[in-house]
Amino acid sequence: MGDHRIAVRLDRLLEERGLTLTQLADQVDVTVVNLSVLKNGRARAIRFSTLSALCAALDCQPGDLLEYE
Amino acid sequence: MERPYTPDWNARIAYFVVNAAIVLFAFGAVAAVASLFTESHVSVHAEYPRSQAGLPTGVVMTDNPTVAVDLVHPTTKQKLLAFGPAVTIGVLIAVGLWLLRGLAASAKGDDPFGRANVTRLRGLGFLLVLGAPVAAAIEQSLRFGLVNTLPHARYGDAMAPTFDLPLGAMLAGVGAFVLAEVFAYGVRLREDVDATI
Repeated sequence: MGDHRIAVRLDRLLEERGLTLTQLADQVDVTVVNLSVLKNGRARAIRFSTLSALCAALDCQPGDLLEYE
Repeated sequence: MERPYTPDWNARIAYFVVNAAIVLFAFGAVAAVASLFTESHVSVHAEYPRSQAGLPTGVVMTDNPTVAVDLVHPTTKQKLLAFGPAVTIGVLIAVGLWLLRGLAASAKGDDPFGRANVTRLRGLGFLLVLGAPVAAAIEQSLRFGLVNTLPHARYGDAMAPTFDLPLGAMLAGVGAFVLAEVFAYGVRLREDVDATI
């Protein structure tokens, strides 16, 4: 784990929307590998452009995606 | 947008030069070892008291003159003492060249800002800051031992050369440490960028 306490709730949102990681990757134009890094909490930072694309694709707010633990 | 790293000719030339230096060093080492068995002369670096130097009246020598004493048919001990400094410096140069080769290879490749280069640069730093003076001290003690084997009746008051701290090498070592920290910072930045989605 990194040096932060931000958790990414991508798996929960994917399940609620009935999407797979590959389908989401196609929609937001981010590789499956990078989305997997994000989902598994191995990312150190997220670009606003990626966050915007994810929120648009998942129809959610940044707060739904990120949580402070 | 991340641009792929493309090494320019400087990196290729540096890699070639370091490899050429390694080959030359290897030949030199083999020739030096061979000379240990074939040479019947040993050149002993020594100093003589300046008071014994015959100069015209009014001419003063400021330092003891450094000389090379040609020792014919040296004993095995004298040969080994004469060869010792070359081994000490040789080990230092070999390790240094190997570390430089790794640095040059990574600059020629596609991963100059890696943790391995931080380790290599720190290794170079230790080699120069600590290794160089230790090697110089060993070299000095071996030369001292060799000069002491010279028979006084024939060679007079020959003395071992004065010990000089290798300040240039030590300063270069400090430079290597500074570069290592710059690289360490670069590695952290790169890891941050790589882990940014």
